Amino acid sequence: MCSSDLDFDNNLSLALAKATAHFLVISFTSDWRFAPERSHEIVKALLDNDAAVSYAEVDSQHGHDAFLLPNAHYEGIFRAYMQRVLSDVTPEESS
Amino acid sequence: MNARTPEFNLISEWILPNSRVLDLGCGDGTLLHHLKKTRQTTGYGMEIDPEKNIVAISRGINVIQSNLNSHEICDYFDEDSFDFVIMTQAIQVVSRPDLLIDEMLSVGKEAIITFPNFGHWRNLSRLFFQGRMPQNETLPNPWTNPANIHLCTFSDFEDLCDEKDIAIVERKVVNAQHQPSIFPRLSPNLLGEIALYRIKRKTKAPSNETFA
Repeated sequence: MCSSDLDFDNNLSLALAKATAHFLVISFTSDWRFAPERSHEIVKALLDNDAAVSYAEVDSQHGHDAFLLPNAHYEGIFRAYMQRVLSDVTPEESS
Repeated sequence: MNARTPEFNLISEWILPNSRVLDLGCGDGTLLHHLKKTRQTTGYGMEIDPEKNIVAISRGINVIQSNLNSHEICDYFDEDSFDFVIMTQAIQVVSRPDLLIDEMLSVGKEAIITFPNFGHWRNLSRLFFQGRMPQNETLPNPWTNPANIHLCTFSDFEDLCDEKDIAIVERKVVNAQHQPSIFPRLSPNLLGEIALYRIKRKTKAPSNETFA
Protein backbone atom coordinates (compact mmCIF):
# COMPACT_ATOMS: atom_id res chain seq x y z
CA MET A 1 0.00 0.00 0.00
CA CYS A 2 2.69 2.49 0.94
CA SER A 3 6.42 2.41 1.36
CA SER A 4 6.18 2.02 5.12
CA ASP A 5 4.81 -1.48 4.50
CA LEU A 6 8.33 -2.44 3.57
CA ASP A 7 9.91 -1.37 6.85
CA PHE A 8 11.66 -4.29 8.53
CA ASP A 9 11.04 -6.34 5.37
CA ASN A 10 7.44 -6.74 6.47
CA ASN A 11 8.77 -8.89 9.28
CA LEU A 12 6.95 -8.39 12.58
CA SER A 13 9.62 -10.17 14.63
CA LEU A 14 12.23 -7.81 13.22
CA ALA A 15 10.02 -4.80 13.93
CA LEU A 16 9.67 -5.81 17.59
CA ALA A 17 13.30 -6.81 18.07
CA LYS A 18 14.27 -3.57 19.81
CA ALA A 19 11.34 -3.56 22.22
CA THR A 20 12.37 -3.87 25.86
CA ALA A 21 8.89 -3.49 27.37
CA HIS A 22 6.91 -6.30 28.97
CA PHE A 23 3.77 -7.28 27.07
CA LEU A 24 0.27 -8.52 27.79
CA VAL A 25 -1.71 -9.51 24.70
CA ILE A 26 -5.45 -10.14 25.07
CA SER A 27 -7.77 -11.24 22.28
CA PHE A 28 -11.51 -11.86 22.23
CA THR A 29 -12.77 -14.95 20.45
CA SER A 30 -15.58 -13.21 18.51
CA ASP A 31 -13.62 -10.10 17.48
CA TRP A 32 -13.22 -10.43 13.72
CA ARG A 33 -11.43 -7.09 13.32
CA PHE A 34 -8.62 -8.01 15.68
CA ALA A 35 -8.99 -11.77 15.47
CA PRO A 36 -7.16 -14.12 17.87
CA GLU A 37 -5.15 -15.40 14.88
CA ARG A 38 -3.59 -11.94 14.47
CA SER A 39 -2.83 -11.81 18.18
CA HIS A 40 -1.11 -15.19 17.87
CA GLU A 41 1.14 -13.57 15.24
CA ILE A 42 2.00 -10.74 17.63
CA VAL A 43 2.73 -13.19 20.44
CA LYS A 44 4.84 -15.34 18.11
CA ALA A 45 6.85 -12.29 17.01
CA LEU A 46 7.45 -11.33 20.64
CA LEU A 47 8.45 -14.89 21.53
CA ASP A 48 10.91 -14.84 18.63
CA ASN A 49 12.65 -12.06 20.53
CA ASP A 50 12.41 -13.79 23.92
CA ALA A 51 10.28 -10.88 25.11
CA ALA A 52 8.39 -11.00 28.39
CA VAL A 53 4.88 -11.66 27.12
CA SER A 54 1.68 -13.16 28.44
CA TYR A 55 -1.32 -13.99 26.30
CA ALA A 56 -4.98 -14.49 27.15
CA GLU A 57 -7.78 -15.48 24.79
CA VAL A 58 -11.07 -14.35 26.27
CA ASP A 59 -14.30 -16.15 25.40
CA SER A 60 -16.88 -13.55 24.46
CA GLN A 61 -19.87 -13.18 22.15
CA HIS A 62 -19.60 -9.42 21.94
CA GLY A 63 -17.20 -9.16 19.03
CA HIS A 64 -15.17 -5.99 18.63
CA ASP A 65 -16.93 -4.33 21.60
CA ALA A 66 -16.05 -7.13 24.02
CA PHE A 67 -13.31 -5.10 25.68
CA LEU A 68 -15.92 -2.51 26.79
CA LEU A 69 -18.15 -5.00 28.58
CA PRO A 70 -17.85 -6.76 31.93
CA ASN A 71 -16.05 -10.09 31.70
CA ALA A 72 -14.53 -11.91 34.68
CA HIS A 73 -11.69 -13.52 32.70
CA TYR A 74 -10.68 -10.27 30.97
CA GLU A 75 -10.89 -8.22 34.17
CA GLY A 76 -9.03 -10.88 36.19
CA ILE A 77 -6.12 -11.01 33.75
CA PHE A 78 -6.00 -7.24 33.41
CA ARG A 79 -6.12 -6.67 37.17
CA ALA A 80 -3.41 -9.27 37.87
CA TYR A 81 -1.14 -7.81 35.20
CA MET A 82 -1.60 -4.20 36.28
CA GLN A 83 -0.90 -5.17 39.87
CA ARG A 84 2.34 -6.71 38.62
CA VAL A 85 3.22 -3.45 36.88
CA LEU A 86 2.47 -1.58 40.10
CA SER A 87 4.73 -3.81 42.17
CA ASP A 88 7.46 -3.48 39.50
CA VAL A 89 7.45 0.29 39.79
CA THR A 90 7.12 0.33 43.60
CA PRO A 91 9.38 -2.53 44.65
CA GLU A 92 9.72 -1.41 48.25
CA GLU A 93 5.98 -1.80 48.87
CA SER A 94 5.68 -5.23 47.31
CA SER A 95 8.41 -6.85 49.36
CA MET B 1 3.57 -25.56 50.35
CA ASN B 2 1.00 -27.55 48.42
CA ALA B 3 0.58 -31.22 47.59
CA ARG B 4 2.77 -30.92 44.50
CA THR B 5 5.73 -29.30 46.28
CA PRO B 6 7.68 -32.58 46.81
CA GLU B 7 7.40 -33.35 43.08
CA PHE B 8 8.51 -29.84 42.17
CA ASN B 9 11.52 -30.20 44.46
CA LEU B 10 12.50 -33.42 42.70
CA ILE B 11 12.19 -31.70 39.30
CA SER B 12 14.26 -28.72 40.33
CA GLU B 13 17.15 -31.06 41.18
CA TRP B 14 17.43 -31.67 37.44
CA ILE B 15 17.26 -28.03 36.35
CA LEU B 16 20.58 -26.27 35.86
CA PRO B 17 20.83 -22.65 37.01
CA ASN B 18 19.83 -20.00 34.44
CA SER B 19 18.07 -22.55 32.22
CA ARG B 20 15.33 -21.56 29.79
CA VAL B 21 12.22 -23.51 30.71
CA LEU B 22 8.81 -24.09 29.13
CA ASP B 23 6.15 -25.57 31.42
CA LEU B 24 3.21 -27.18 29.58
CA GLY B 25 0.01 -27.18 31.58
CA CYS B 26 1.72 -24.86 34.05
CA GLY B 27 -1.43 -24.35 36.14
CA ASP B 28 -1.11 -21.44 38.53
CA GLY B 29 2.62 -21.14 37.83
CA THR B 30 3.80 -22.69 41.12
CA LEU B 31 6.57 -24.75 39.50
CA LEU B 32 7.89 -21.93 37.29
CA HIS B 33 7.82 -19.56 40.26
CA HIS B 34 9.75 -22.13 42.30
CA LEU B 35 12.33 -22.65 39.52
CA LYS B 36 12.70 -18.92 38.98
CA LYS B 37 13.52 -18.45 42.67
CA THR B 38 15.72 -21.51 43.20
CA ARG B 39 17.34 -21.90 39.75
CA GLN B 40 17.04 -18.38 38.27
CA THR B 41 15.27 -19.82 35.24
CA THR B 42 13.56 -17.82 32.52
CA GLY B 43 10.85 -18.90 30.13
CA TYR B 44 7.14 -19.37 29.78
CA GLY B 45 4.17 -21.38 30.91
CA MET B 46 1.32 -22.63 28.76
CA GLU B 47 -2.08 -23.27 30.33
CA ILE B 48 -5.67 -23.36 29.11
CA ASP B 49 -7.52 -22.59 32.37
CA PRO B 50 -8.35 -18.84 32.66
CA GLU B 51 -8.46 -18.78 36.45
CA LYS B 52 -5.09 -20.47 36.75
CA ASN B 53 -3.71 -18.03 34.14
CA ILE B 54 -4.77 -15.13 36.35
CA VAL B 55 -2.94 -16.57 39.37
CA ALA B 56 0.15 -17.32 37.26
CA ILE B 57 0.26 -13.76 35.93
CA SER B 58 -0.10 -12.33 39.42
CA ARG B 59 2.91 -14.47 40.42
CA GLY B 60 4.99 -12.77 37.75
CA ILE B 61 4.96 -15.74 35.37
CA ASN B 62 4.76 -15.17 31.62
CA VAL B 63 1.95 -17.46 30.58
CA ILE B 64 0.53 -18.11 27.13
CA GLN B 65 -3.07 -19.30 27.21
CA SER B 66 -3.09 -22.34 25.02
CA ASN B 67 -4.72 -25.72 24.49
CA LEU B 68 -2.08 -28.45 24.48
CA ASN B 69 -4.29 -30.46 22.12
CA SER B 70 -4.13 -27.76 19.43
CA HIS B 71 -0.45 -28.58 18.77
CA GLU B 72 0.64 -24.98 18.36
CA ILE B 73 3.81 -25.26 20.43
CA CYS B 74 6.00 -25.52 17.33
CA ASP B 75 4.21 -22.51 15.81
CA TYR B 76 5.08 -20.40 18.81
CA PHE B 77 8.63 -21.59 19.44
CA ASP B 78 11.63 -22.42 17.27
CA GLU B 79 13.62 -25.62 17.54
CA ASP B 80 15.77 -25.93 20.68
CA SER B 81 14.35 -22.74 22.20
CA PHE B 82 14.45 -24.24 25.69
CA ASP B 83 16.88 -26.19 27.83
CA PHE B 84 13.94 -28.01 29.42
CA VAL B 85 10.31 -28.49 28.45
CA ILE B 86 8.38 -29.75 31.47
CA MET B 87 4.98 -31.40 31.71
CA THR B 88 3.85 -32.58 35.14
CA GLN B 89 0.88 -34.92 35.60
CA ALA B 90 -0.64 -33.94 32.26
CA ILE B 91 0.46 -36.53 29.69
CA GLN B 92 -2.50 -38.73 30.65
CA VAL B 93 -5.05 -35.99 29.93
CA VAL B 94 -3.97 -34.87 26.44
CA SER B 95 -5.46 -36.32 23.27
CA ARG B 96 -2.19 -37.33 21.58
CA PRO B 97 0.63 -37.82 24.11
CA ASP B 98 2.88 -39.20 21.37
CA LEU B 99 2.65 -36.05 19.24
CA LEU B 100 3.08 -33.82 22.26
CA ILE B 101 6.31 -35.59 23.23
CA ASP B 102 7.60 -34.92 19.68
CA GLU B 103 6.73 -31.24 20.08
CA MET B 104 8.40 -31.08 23.48
CA LEU B 105 11.63 -32.53 22.13
CA SER B 106 11.49 -30.26 19.11
CA VAL B 107 11.37 -26.94 20.97
CA GLY B 108 13.37 -28.28 23.93
CA LYS B 109 16.78 -29.89 24.23
CA GLU B 110 15.40 -32.08 26.99
CA ALA B 111 11.96 -32.87 28.34
CA ILE B 112 10.79 -33.71 31.85
CA ILE B 113 7.56 -35.66 32.14
CA THR B 114 5.83 -36.89 35.28
CA PHE B 115 2.75 -39.13 35.50
CA PRO B 116 1.01 -41.67 37.72
CA ASN B 117 1.70 -45.35 37.08
CA PHE B 118 -1.41 -47.27 36.05
CA GLY B 119 0.52 -50.52 36.49
CA HIS B 120 1.03 -50.04 40.25
CA TRP B 121 0.02 -53.19 42.17
CA ARG B 122 -2.78 -51.39 44.03
CA ASN B 123 -4.41 -50.43 40.71
CA LEU B 124 -3.95 -53.93 39.34
CA SER B 125 -5.31 -55.61 42.46
CA ARG B 126 -8.39 -53.38 42.46
CA LEU B 127 -9.02 -54.36 38.84
CA PHE B 128 -8.27 -58.01 39.48
CA PHE B 129 -9.99 -58.60 42.81
CA GLN B 130 -12.77 -56.01 42.77
CA GLY B 131 -13.25 -55.66 39.01
CA ARG B 132 -13.25 -51.89 39.33
CA MET B 133 -11.20 -49.03 37.89
CA PRO B 134 -8.57 -47.75 40.32
CA GLN B 135 -9.33 -44.68 42.39
CA ASN B 136 -6.78 -43.47 44.93
CA GLU B 137 -4.35 -40.72 45.87
CA THR B 138 -2.49 -40.63 42.54
CA LEU B 139 -5.61 -41.38 40.44
CA PRO B 140 -8.28 -39.46 42.34
CA ASN B 141 -10.92 -39.24 39.61
CA PRO B 142 -13.75 -41.77 39.17
CA TRP B 143 -13.84 -43.50 35.78
CA THR B 144 -16.66 -41.20 34.64
CA ASN B 145 -14.38 -38.18 34.94
CA PRO B 146 -12.92 -37.74 31.47
CA ALA B 147 -9.69 -36.09 32.63
CA ASN B 148 -7.38 -39.10 32.48
CA ILE B 149 -7.93 -40.45 28.99
CA HIS B 150 -4.49 -41.93 28.33
CA LEU B 151 -3.38 -43.71 31.45
CA CYS B 152 -0.24 -45.75 30.97
CA THR B 153 2.31 -47.75 32.91
CA PHE B 154 6.01 -46.99 33.18
CA SER B 155 6.71 -49.85 30.77
CA ASP B 156 4.23 -48.42 28.23
CA PHE B 157 5.96 -45.06 28.40
CA GLU B 158 9.40 -46.58 28.02
CA ASP B 159 8.23 -48.63 25.03
CA LEU B 160 6.99 -45.41 23.42
CA CYS B 161 10.37 -43.74 24.02
CA ASP B 162 12.07 -46.74 22.49
CA GLU B 163 9.85 -46.60 19.38
CA LYS B 164 10.54 -42.91 18.98
CA ASP B 165 14.28 -43.25 19.42
CA ILE B 166 14.14 -41.21 22.60
CA ALA B 167 16.79 -41.66 25.27
CA ILE B 168 15.82 -41.78 28.94
CA VAL B 169 18.48 -39.62 30.57
CA GLU B 170 17.23 -40.22 34.10
CA ARG B 171 14.23 -41.66 35.88
CA LYS B 172 12.97 -41.21 39.42
CA VAL B 173 10.26 -43.53 40.68
CA VAL B 174 8.57 -42.56 43.91
CA ASN B 175 5.54 -43.36 46.01
CA ALA B 176 2.40 -41.22 46.22
CA GLN B 177 4.09 -39.02 48.83
CA HIS B 178 7.00 -38.52 46.40
CA GLN B 179 9.40 -40.39 48.63
CA PRO B 180 11.89 -42.68 46.95
CA SER B 181 11.40 -45.83 49.05
CA ILE B 182 13.12 -49.14 48.42
CA PHE B 183 10.06 -50.82 46.88
CA PRO B 184 9.79 -48.76 43.67
CA ARG B 185 13.46 -49.53 43.06
CA LEU B 186 12.90 -53.29 43.29
CA SER B 187 10.11 -53.43 40.73
CA PRO B 188 9.26 -49.94 39.42
CA ASN B 189 6.37 -50.90 37.15
CA LEU B 190 4.61 -52.79 39.95
CA LEU B 191 5.64 -50.84 43.04
CA GLY B 192 6.19 -47.27 41.88
CA GLU B 193 3.27 -44.85 41.99
CA ILE B 194 4.66 -41.75 40.30
CA ALA B 195 7.53 -41.49 37.82
CA LEU B 196 9.60 -38.52 36.78
CA TYR B 197 11.35 -38.98 33.45
CA ARG B 198 14.06 -36.85 31.93
CA ILE B 199 14.28 -37.61 28.20
CA LYS B 200 16.01 -36.39 25.07
CA ARG B 201 16.23 -37.30 21.42
CA LYS B 202 18.99 -39.81 20.70
CA THR B 203 19.95 -38.11 17.48
CA LYS B 204 18.86 -34.50 17.67
CA ALA B 205 19.86 -33.50 14.16
CA PRO B 206 20.28 -36.25 11.57
CA SER B 207 23.95 -36.31 10.76
CA ASN B 208 25.41 -37.07 7.31
CA GLU B 209 28.59 -38.44 8.77
CA THR B 210 27.20 -41.82 9.73
CA PHE B 211 28.79 -44.98 8.39
CA ALA B 212 26.59 -45.82 5.46
